[in-house]
Amino acid sequence: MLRWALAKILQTAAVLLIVSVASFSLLKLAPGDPVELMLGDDYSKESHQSLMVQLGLDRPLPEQYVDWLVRFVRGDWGTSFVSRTPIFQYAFVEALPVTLTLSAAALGLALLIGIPLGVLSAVRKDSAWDAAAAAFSLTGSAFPSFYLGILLIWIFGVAFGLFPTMGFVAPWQDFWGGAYHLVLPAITLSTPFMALIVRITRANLVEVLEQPYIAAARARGEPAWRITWVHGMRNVLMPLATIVGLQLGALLHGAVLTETVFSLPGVGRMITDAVLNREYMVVQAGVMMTGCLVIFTNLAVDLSYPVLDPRLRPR
Amino acid sequence: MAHQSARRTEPQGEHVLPFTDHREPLLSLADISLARNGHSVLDRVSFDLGRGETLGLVGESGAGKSTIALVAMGLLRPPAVTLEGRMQFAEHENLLVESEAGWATLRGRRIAMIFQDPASALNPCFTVGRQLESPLRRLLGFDRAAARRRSIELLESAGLNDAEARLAAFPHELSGGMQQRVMIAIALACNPELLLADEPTSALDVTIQAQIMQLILSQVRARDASCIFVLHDLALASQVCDRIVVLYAGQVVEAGPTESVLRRSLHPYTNALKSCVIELDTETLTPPEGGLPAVGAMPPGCRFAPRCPRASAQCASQTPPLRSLEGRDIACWHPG
Repeated sequence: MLRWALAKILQTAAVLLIVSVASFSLLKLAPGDPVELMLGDDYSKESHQSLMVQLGLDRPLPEQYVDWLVRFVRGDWGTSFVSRTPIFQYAFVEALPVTLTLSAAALGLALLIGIPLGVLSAVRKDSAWDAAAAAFSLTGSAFPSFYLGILLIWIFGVAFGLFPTMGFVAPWQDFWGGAYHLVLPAITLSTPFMALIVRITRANLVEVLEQPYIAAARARGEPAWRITWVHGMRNVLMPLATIVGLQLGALLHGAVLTETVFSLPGVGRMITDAVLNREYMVVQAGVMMTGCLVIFTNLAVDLSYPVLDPRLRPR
Repeated sequence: MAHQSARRTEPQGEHVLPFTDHREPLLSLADISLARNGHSVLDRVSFDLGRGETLGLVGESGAGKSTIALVAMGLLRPPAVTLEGRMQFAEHENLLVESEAGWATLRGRRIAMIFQDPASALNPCFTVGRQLESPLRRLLGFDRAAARRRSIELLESAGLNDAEARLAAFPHELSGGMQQRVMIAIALACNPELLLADEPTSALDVTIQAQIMQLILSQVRARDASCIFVLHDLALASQVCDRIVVLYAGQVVEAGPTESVLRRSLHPYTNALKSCVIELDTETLTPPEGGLPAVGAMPPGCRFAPRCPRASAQCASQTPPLRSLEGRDIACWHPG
């Protein structure tokens, strides 16, 4: 078991290295000479050369890569040309928590509402309720998040003035204020995800409830709620975890759009701004962070399989 | 071997009285009809099961044997299906109209079931101990320690060695035979009055079938419980059942004490089933050719008529009623 987990972690480390190489190449492949950019229009060949040496750009690429990786791991991510602040501070300390908070709120909302809706649909299969949930699910996944975001802003923000339409308040400083500001963006981001969870939960639970072990559980007198929530859902957790893990990447994607619509200072907006300003080092930091996030969540899902399904426990 | 007599059948005079059980019936099915999506699956099925009696429901796949077991277990109920008739169980006058709350006092506690394929009838995500202790704690009010002790006893009496270690095992870690022993232990955990065994050995290795059947029989007898075996194997049924009910296309065609039904079958379908199991050199009997009529396309008269060597014009148009003849119940216009 431990060896299996260790092997998984090593695999993940390999993937991380690949991401880092890709991320490093991004900067090398980007058009334009960074030294030229730093020196401005008017510079001498000597000053260009000395800055190249100073930045280590004259050394062979593998050496530069290792150097870059070491600095990256240490948190030395360079300085933004635009804001003149360290990118680590800007990207990791300020932007990332915003995106994580938004994503966690959206994920929590999607699971908290999506799973019960899916279960209800499965238990009352082919009822009016099931049809309504299916309609919601289809609409939810068909609605583009930027459109839904604007719609929500218009209805709840502008027309009724119930919720703030922009800005971010850290919930760890002011919980209710933070939650208040997160309501609309979290709903926007979670809707397509919730729709997916409703569908996955329903489809898997319907299948599980037809299994002989469910009939057997009923035959030994298990009450209906335990049949659904314990015997049924226990077997749905595994496919659900797979889908949630796979879709977390898409959730981060959605966060980019949502942050832009609601003017949240997260990683999504950071990357958007950086692309527009051609701040490749910031883009690189964003790619590394989101890449690591997706990889780590996938590792977590992989490691959860043996916990969720005893049949997958390595012996 | 099909002629081997059932050991516990009391001798009955032939041509005397219609078959009656002198013991008080535990379960009594009267004219039970079941339809799914408007198509008849069971048609006026009637039979009684005495206390301490072992009854075999025999027939081809699709004859409705397992359906009867599911109805008796309360697992097949409206609105999934439409049910008519009456099913009396102990002091319950009609279980077909019993409320869910009423069923909750019966399922697992007084009526229990063993399923065909133990590999799929045990929840793959829970340990043996959890699935075995759950009914003890929930239905009998055992505390954790007592449930555990009782579980070990149950597993041991179901013939599992190293019972204590087995409690921590997941179903997939056990062999098919061990899984079925666990199922038997679970089903008998609350000492049910009625045990339904749906093809309990069909999914198992031939070499352990006899052991498992023996185990079920001895456990049932030790508890003085009644048992319904759902079997497609008439030879096996003849060895373990006091009485046999032969089903064809959702109807009872012949029912009575094992010995008389097998020694001289009156229904051509029973004869045909017998010919499937007895020695090959008896050429007088022909195995049933063709298949069961499709649900929703039942013949108007006797459902066996299209495959029956004795079929007449009457058979094709009129449904034979279940009547008493030579110590058994039979539904045939031309018995003999």
